[in-house]
Amino acid sequence: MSSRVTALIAEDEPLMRERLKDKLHEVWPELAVVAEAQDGDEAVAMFDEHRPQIAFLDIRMPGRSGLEVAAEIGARCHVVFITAYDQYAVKAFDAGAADYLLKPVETDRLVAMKERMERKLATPPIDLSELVAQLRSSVKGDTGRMKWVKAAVGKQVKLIPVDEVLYFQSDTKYTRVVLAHGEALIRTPLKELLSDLDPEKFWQVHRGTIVNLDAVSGVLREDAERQFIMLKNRQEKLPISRQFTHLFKQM
Amino acid sequence: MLAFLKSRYDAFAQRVLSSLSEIERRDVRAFDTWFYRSGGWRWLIGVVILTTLISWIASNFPWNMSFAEAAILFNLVVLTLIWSGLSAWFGYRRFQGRIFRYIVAAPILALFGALLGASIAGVVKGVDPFVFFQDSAKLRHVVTAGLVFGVLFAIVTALIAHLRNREYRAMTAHLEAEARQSETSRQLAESKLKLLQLQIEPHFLFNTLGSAQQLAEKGAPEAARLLGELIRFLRAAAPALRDEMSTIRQEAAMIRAYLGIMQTRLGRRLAWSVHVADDVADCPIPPGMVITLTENAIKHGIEPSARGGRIDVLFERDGDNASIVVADTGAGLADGLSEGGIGLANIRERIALLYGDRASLSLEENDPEGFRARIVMPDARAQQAHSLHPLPSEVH
Repeated sequence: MSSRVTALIAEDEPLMRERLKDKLHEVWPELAVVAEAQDGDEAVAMFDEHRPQIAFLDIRMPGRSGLEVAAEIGARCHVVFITAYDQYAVKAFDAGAADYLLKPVETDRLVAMKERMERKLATPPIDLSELVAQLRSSVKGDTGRMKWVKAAVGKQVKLIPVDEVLYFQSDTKYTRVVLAHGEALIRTPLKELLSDLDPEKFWQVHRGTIVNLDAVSGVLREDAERQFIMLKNRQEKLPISRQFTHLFKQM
Repeated sequence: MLAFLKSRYDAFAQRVLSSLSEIERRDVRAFDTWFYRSGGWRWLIGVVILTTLISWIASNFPWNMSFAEAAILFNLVVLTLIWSGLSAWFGYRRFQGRIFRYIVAAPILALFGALLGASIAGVVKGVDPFVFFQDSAKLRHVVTAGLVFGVLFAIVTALIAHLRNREYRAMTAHLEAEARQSETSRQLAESKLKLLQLQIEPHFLFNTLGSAQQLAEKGAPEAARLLGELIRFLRAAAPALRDEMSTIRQEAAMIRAYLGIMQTRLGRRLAWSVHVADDVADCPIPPGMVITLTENAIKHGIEPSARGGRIDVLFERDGDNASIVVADTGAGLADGLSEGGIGLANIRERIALLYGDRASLSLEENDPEGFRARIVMPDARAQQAHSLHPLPSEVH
């Protein structure tokens, strides 16, 4: 085994970075920290430059998260994740045999990690991409359902709670966001919106229309072919195209 | 045969019961229990006996009526009244809005019934009805009997239906108000709880303590300062959240401690200011809202941004309102749809529950970049001052 082992530390908080470095130096003097990154993007760049054998990656970082960085470099070096409290991640790491450290790092944990890594260095790194992909959504932070539409209203950019939207309608270049009082424009195409919206609440009723079910007052049946949605507090009727009429069979 | 009838009756009763509202169903069940289980039927028998007794007395008057005739007639009248009274008692919702029409229609129908009955009786006794009705005294008797019975009948049923409808409306309104009230207090309690859970994240604690540990090990004097700020933050956060109301002064102190901690942790990546105008410092405010906005600014604005940014928190007066702005120059939000976090939704819900339309939370892009949240809420003291002192000159 070569006497010198190289490592990269990616951690956005300077004090925590410093602490990890000091502690590593204490328990593993042969380890040389060759690069210190303050965010995910820097971590990838520094990895390409220095090619360290081990990468210590904080999960929550600006730019690319630790998980995203691991997806890119994980096959080329041994990854040790650092986290303060991501319990889902820790569970998954235990199950998926990925190495991790809990912040603030403690000496006895570091010693155990060192012994494990010394054994691992003899073997090629394991591929983490599957584990990382599975974890990305859960570590992203808020999982609350409440969503906001960021939209231009006149000259201002406003955040509108998605619950307040009556319907979305595509309009050549933009998507119209229609509210009880007024409307706004966004650039996000309807198709992209559909995948992000709550399918229990927002239904596509036409190639160019997604409607908030809470805003629907009824369905107008002109004949078997032509049906329209009527809205609470609004005059206009929204046509339902044939492929979606089955949604309203029971209504 | 009996089993068949019973099953048909059960099916019928089932259909009727299922068409009733909850309140009506409860009434019917109560009556059912009273009538069959607690011997309510004995009353019915009692009424029949009493009526028969009265008709016996009546038949002794020179009314040209035998006891049997009087007993049948009286019992028919009384039982019909009881029956229609009961049907009005339970079926009052069918009378809703039609009581007047009913009062008019019932005597007319009763009159026709009386004329028809008299004609049939005449035919049975071999008297030509046309001859019979030519006797104006007899016609008057029949008309009077029909009208009296019809009016009596209409008044009894209409009165019962009217009173019952009023009772029903009052009860419905009461139940609705009760449901609304408990819903509001449940939502308030829930939003408070959610805020409490959001407040002190383990992430925040572990990272802060880790930083303090590192500073302490190096013997840096900042260690004591960081721990001091953490203590101030925790002390401000803990009791404040248990109270219904905090003040802007208290909330601002907690935010200063929090931003001080984050400053130590993030270093050059964070700059900040907290400004409280003197005339809103004592304004009551629901605890935990502004610190949530500040935490959001750190979490979604500064932390995701490699170059960082600044956070400015501003408490100001705006007429009778307090205006609170938390602005950051951090990462801002992605275009289109984005997760705004439970915190924002919760604040929105909370001020809506407490102040209704008089408070608002608006969110927009900060100029030139980042995110800006503004809460406008009534200053409770301003309203009190107005109600106590109608004239502005009396306000000291």
